[in-house]
Amino acid sequence: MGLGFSTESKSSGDIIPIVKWDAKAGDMIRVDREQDASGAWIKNEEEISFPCKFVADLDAIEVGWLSFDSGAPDFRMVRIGEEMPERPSAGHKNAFRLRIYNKEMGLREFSHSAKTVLRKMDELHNQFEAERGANAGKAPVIEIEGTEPVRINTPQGELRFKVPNWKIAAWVDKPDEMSGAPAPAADVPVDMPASEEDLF
Amino acid sequence: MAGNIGAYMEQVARHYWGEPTKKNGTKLRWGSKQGREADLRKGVWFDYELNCGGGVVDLVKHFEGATLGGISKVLQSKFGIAGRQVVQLKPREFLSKVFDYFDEHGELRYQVLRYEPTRYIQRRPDGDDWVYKMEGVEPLPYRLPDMLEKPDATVFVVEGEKCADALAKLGLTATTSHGGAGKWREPLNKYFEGRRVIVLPDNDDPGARHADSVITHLLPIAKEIRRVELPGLPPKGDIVDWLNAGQDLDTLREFCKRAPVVETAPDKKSETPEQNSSHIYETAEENNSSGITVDAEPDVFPLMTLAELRAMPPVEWLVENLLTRTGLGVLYGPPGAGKSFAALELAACVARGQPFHGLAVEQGAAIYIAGEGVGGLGKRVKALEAARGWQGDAPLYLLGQAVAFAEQGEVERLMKTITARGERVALVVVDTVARALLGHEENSADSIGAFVAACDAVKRHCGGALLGIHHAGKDAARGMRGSTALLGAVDTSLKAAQEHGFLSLAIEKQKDGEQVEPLRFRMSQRALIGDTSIVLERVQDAPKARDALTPAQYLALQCLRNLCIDSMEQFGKVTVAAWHAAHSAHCPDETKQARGAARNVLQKRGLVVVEGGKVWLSRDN
Repeated sequence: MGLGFSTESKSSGDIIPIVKWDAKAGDMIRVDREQDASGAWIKNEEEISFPCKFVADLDAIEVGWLSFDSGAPDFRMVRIGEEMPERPSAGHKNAFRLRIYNKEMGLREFSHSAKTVLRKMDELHNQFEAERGANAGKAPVIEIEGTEPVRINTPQGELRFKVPNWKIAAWVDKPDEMSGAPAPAADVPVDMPASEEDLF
Repeated sequence: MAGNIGAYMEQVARHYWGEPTKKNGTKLRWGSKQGREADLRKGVWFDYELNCGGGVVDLVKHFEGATLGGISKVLQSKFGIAGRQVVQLKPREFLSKVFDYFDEHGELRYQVLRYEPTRYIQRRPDGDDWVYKMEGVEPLPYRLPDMLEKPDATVFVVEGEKCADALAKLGLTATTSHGGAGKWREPLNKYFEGRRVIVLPDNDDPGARHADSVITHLLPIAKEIRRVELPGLPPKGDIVDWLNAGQDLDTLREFCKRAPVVETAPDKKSETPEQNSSHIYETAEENNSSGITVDAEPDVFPLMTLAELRAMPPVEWLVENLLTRTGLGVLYGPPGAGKSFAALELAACVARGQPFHGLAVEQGAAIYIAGEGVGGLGKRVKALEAARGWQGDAPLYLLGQAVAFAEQGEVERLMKTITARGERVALVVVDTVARALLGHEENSADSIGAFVAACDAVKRHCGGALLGIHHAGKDAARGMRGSTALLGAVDTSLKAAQEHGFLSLAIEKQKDGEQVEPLRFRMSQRALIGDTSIVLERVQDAPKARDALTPAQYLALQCLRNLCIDSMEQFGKVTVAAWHAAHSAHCPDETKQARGAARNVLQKRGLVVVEGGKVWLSRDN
């Protein structure tokens, strides 16, 4: 360690596969990586059809900064209410990171930095805060019924986006898969869907 | 119509003095020597020959010689100044509660109106109007329909409608008679025939005599009477105080069971029931002409004996060493010092029963009157709750508009709002005093007097404390803005100041407590979903000058830092206009002046550099 290099290896178990939200199309997409016969990594994307339900670890949602400038996602995250980290660069945007789970897709990581999606997540978190007292020890089941259109006027004209129409539909015992602290983000290049974050 | 009566100065001055002989900007002058002057910007006038002056109301008063009530009419008829513009500094009396008295058919027969400062008036319906005379009206037990609905229930007889309501809330059948102590009347007796009765006296001499009177009246016809002296009642205390002290229904039931059944009428020290009753009627008849009920007790000021003084309970704190349980406090400081952050957290701590930075609090509902806007309060609360780990609901309520404390109707509406919550409100925060006195002179002792009277009324109504947020004067070292009457009237004055950029809360005045060391706080920016907000963190040591900024300055700097980062260069220049716009968008609650002051400090301290319409972060930043 004299040179300060980390020699710890990260097992693939540390990497949580992701779902992403395409704010242009209004699609929720699960992303899986597999190795083909030649050993090369390939990425499979599959649209998740609505309505869909999943358990969300809203109690452990993280907020802070996210950048894709270097190809790999660079998260600077803290829990809600903790000291906000300094913004590292112009490429870093306000973002959230959340673990979600259902039987079909397993444990996934969901993050976004678009303001429209952040607002929807804030609303969802408000519902979570309002209901958690009556559901101590449980985790919320989020139901996405479809999408809501959002129109934004810009000097270039009106732009349209779609955000998830979601709500807390039920509360269940927290799945075992969600026990423990949130894992670090998958440090693999991820193509982000179109974002309107710079429009405001 | 302008929101400030001062805006009518020109119209009113021209009416009385005619065309001005000279006009200089916003100042008008009259007379050959121009001895009369009106300052339209300030809304004031002065007559140098008579050596007198004042505001619009004073000018009207000067010419009309009317009382304030009459002035309202003059303002309306001659100048069309109505509604909020009409000064209602007097009477400083506010309708606090209305108690309905129904007959056995559920018909409203009369009402008792409680005013603050404490005064009771009775009235009865007469078509669409009210008659403030009780002549010929048969007295009824309060909450009679409840009594009749539960014929087998034990009836608790207390002193005052508030006590009866408190017991009814616990599911008990409770009643009282109108008019207070010593006002039990013969016609009430028939409703208690064959009933089990428990009499709960107030802890004072009139209360004891009233209980004697009730027992003497009811003993011949009630099935059973018990007199329950509640242990631990403070002097003049009643069942509401007892319950507020943490006692519950089960304990009350236990005491009632243990109390002996009254077998004989109390030994009357002064009056027989008949004498008492006839005396009361006489008094009531006399008082009915004015509609005001006066106790049968001699009309003298109550004096406390040395023994009573010694027996007075110790000071009860709502927030340890900061604010007494029923105190009037003011928290003042310069704009952007962090007053509202502190006050909001204080209210949240009271609502949750959580210590305020290590200081114990008594739990109770809190109402925060956000006269300067609600915009940023939501995220402040979210950040605070997340930072403290508070979860679930708490009785913290936000009133998102200013309440005009100098207007009787507004104060009474606030009292109704408090009553409608149906829970004990332990703290009301008025943010800010200036907003609560909009249209009135902060420099006027009369306006401040009206504000204090309204605060006292609200405090008495809810039984809690009131904290006003106020601005410091231009020279913050000289104390709060406006009339010093406010400092004289409050029990507690907290001075918020910037101490090397940290928020310092110092107790400037504490009527009932010891002076304690100032509390010091660091402003910590906390993460939210897509946003941030400031949370106070207490620091023990006196802060050092370097690095610390006020919340307002910190946010101004953050806005510039973000803009510079967006400009793709750490020390990139952005336009001053862009900084102002971003700052305004990020801090909508701050006034333009406060935002400007925050930016100026950054510039003066060399944290930012402004040149040629551009601004950038200094290398030291």
